[in-house]
Amino acid sequence: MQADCWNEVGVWAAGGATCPRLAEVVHCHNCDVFARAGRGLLDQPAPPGYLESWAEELARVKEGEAGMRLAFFVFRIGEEWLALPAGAVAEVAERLPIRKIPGRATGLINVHGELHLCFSMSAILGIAADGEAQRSVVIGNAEGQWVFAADEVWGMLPVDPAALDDVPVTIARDASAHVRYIVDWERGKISCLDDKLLFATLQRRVRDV
Amino acid sequence: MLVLLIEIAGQLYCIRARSVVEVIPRVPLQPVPHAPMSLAGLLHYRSEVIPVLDLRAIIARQPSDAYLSTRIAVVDIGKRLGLVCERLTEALEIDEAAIAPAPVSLEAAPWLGGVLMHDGAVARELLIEHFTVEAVA
Repeated sequence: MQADCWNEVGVWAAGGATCPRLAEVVHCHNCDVFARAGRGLLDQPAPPGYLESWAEELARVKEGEAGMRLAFFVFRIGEEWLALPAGAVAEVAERLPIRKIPGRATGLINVHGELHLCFSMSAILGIAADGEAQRSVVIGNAEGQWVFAADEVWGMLPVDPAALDDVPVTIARDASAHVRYIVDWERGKISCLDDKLLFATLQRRVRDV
Repeated sequence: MLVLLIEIAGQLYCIRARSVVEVIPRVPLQPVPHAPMSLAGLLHYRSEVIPVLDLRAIIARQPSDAYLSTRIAVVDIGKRLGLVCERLTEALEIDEAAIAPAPVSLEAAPWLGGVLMHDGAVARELLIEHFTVEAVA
């Protein structure tokens, strides 16, 4: 076998893939020859400056190493940025098509062959959403999973538990009923939703409709 | 159980990931005057200074190559210690029972543990707790 067989007989070959191993591994990415060659790339001296910058980095104390940190999933509905405990989020996907259920406001969404009920986060929280949502977010606990459409997903936000603020009592009752904490974010303070309460609401609504 | 695979002088070894705190590149170390080859130097690690041992120097009596694939595993065995490991590029999830008891044990190499069959090759387990500066340097 040549040194770069993936270019000669593999999936990147100019004349098409002819390697007999492909029948088993499907793509060169899964082949151990390719993996071994990739590791071999590390058998060379480090580029100048690389190790020095690492030495500097390692001498510093890791930020936030002391104490546990909570992670929050940050997303946007309409003009409102919100957060959910990361443990409640199972998956974020491209916007998936909703299959309507006749006579019901909600629909079903197919995620990896499993059907999940979808709900409108904007309706539950009383926030106006954009017209075109970009992402479908799968959330759930042991009892079930739901999908909602988020207008935008920012990512995961690590938060020091000591920095969690309680919700001011003056916040309008409708949305704050599901807000558990206020957390600091780079673009200001955002509300963190109470996942347990949210799931309870969803369970109730499924039974009620 | 997660183990890290290491290749030293053409032989496969593995260490249990449980006591490994972090795997870092083989950064330049503070040399220790009159130190034996097995003591690679001192590492300024997270506002702490820890000794770093060279596994190849201990096992094969040659210093490790300064390649990108040579890394330092920072381990915690009561206190922190760095181990220079060659070809530390793969982690493996195995069953604890997959490591068979050592067929031989030598007094000169108390850190040599059981054997693990991996991909047709034999990997010897390295017992990290035996790598102390006093014991090998």
